[in-house]
Amino acid sequence: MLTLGRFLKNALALGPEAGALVEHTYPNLFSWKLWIHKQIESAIGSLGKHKKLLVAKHHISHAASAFYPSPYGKPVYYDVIKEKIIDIKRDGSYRLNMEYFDYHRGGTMINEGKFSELFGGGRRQPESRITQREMDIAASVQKITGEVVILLARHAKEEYGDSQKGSLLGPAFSMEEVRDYLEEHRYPYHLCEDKKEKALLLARLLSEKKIIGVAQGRMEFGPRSLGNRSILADCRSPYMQSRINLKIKYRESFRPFAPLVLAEKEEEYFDLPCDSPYMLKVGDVQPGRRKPFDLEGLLEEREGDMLQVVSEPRSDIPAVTHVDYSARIQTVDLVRNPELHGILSEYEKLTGCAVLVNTSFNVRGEPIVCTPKDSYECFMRTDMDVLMLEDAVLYKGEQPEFVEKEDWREKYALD
Amino acid sequence: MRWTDMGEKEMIKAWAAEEYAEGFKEGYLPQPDASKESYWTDFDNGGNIAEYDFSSVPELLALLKLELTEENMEDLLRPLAVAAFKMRARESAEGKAVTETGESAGEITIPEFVYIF
Repeated sequence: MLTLGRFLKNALALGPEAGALVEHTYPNLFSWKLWIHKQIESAIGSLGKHKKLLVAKHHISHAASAFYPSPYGKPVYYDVIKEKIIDIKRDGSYRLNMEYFDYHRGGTMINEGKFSELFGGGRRQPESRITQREMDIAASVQKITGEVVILLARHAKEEYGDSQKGSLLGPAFSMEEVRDYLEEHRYPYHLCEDKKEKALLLARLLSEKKIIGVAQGRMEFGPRSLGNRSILADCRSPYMQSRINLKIKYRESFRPFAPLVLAEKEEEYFDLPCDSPYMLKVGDVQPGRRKPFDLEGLLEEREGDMLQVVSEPRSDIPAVTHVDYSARIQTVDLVRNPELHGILSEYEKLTGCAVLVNTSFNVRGEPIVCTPKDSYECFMRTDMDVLMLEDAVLYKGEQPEFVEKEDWREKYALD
Repeated sequence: MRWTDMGEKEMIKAWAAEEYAEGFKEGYLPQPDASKESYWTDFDNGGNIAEYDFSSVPELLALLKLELTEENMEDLLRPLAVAAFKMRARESAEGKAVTETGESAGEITIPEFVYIF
């Protein structure tokens, strides 16, 4: 419907010149796009239990993938693009000069003549050689796109502030909902009276090398688990990496884990001189913490047994140190995630270490857990020792036998 | 002008030519404006999720009336609904998807039910 509406409005905006747009758009729209519900039903056999198709009336953002050879070019067209094609305001909002585009006419994306004037020649033909000009155009467009995105992000921060609202946007479950679930199924649990007790308990269990599944607060929205749907573990043990990989994630033993670290202690452990609250930045373990690591020598010595090689400590926080001493870091501060900060602080008081393993709360191939049910099932399917559901603590040894009708291993493909 | 007497594509072209207004274009496809400090506008999401289903011309017409509320589109809606079913009937008769250019193999008879609304 949105596409049909836009098609008609574009036609209206073009008036007597709408012919090409109509010829281009009409067949696909009326024979296929309007009938998407029938296409889906035909492809998958039904529209589910409720026989309904629900659609989002408008998508707020597009998912797009593009390859640009921009690293090989220079942004020499940056000024001319800003002057002629796009007007960017301080708050990141922008408008394009429609004289340079033809997509609203139903033809090509760009106005070939105007682009040719601007970039000193026609567009590159498919399969032809990529020249310096194309690389420079790509680099120029990338620079402008980056500028717009940063301005938009700044504007969003000015409007809404930043208390990790960028990530903790998913659903949360109340203690009442957690209790209802646990009691309905008669799963034994213990309640922490307050956040302090919870932090002390988790810190102690982690220091005892217990592997803990944590599901608390709002779920993360984005590519990383940041402590609200996470598996936490002691990173000082040389065997923790392979143990979590083999017995919890059910994947190759050498796959690396990421650390979370108290923000105020970060530079004691890593050489990243800035915050990384969303686990998107990589830094090296500080040289003073590293142990010499001769990969080739070890492979020879251990006769190619990767499990043994991975277990060789590379620093005093081996479970989160990669073979090249790098780590993908999450800094935890009091403002963005006070509960996690509290747990980590108590752990540091107990052990002297301000770093923990943080991996997503899921097994290979499955989505990250969301609900108390998801969390419990993942907990019981793996070798995790403890589950923390909000303020409820569950110990593996106290749980009843967990029987499932299907083998969950067949449900999810390897990742 | 009686659009229902035309082929569907010609009907849309004629409608666009007849209803065209320069003012609309400036509002719908606005150009950069140095005098503005921002291009941000309010967006009314208005219940973002809705059911999408129709199996008859009246049902599609009802959907179109909900979504295309502009006054100058009102007379276009019924012919558009018919056009959608004509294309679908053509595709079914051919037993394959209509090509992007809308070509089909020879004359197709449109079943009567398409016109009963």
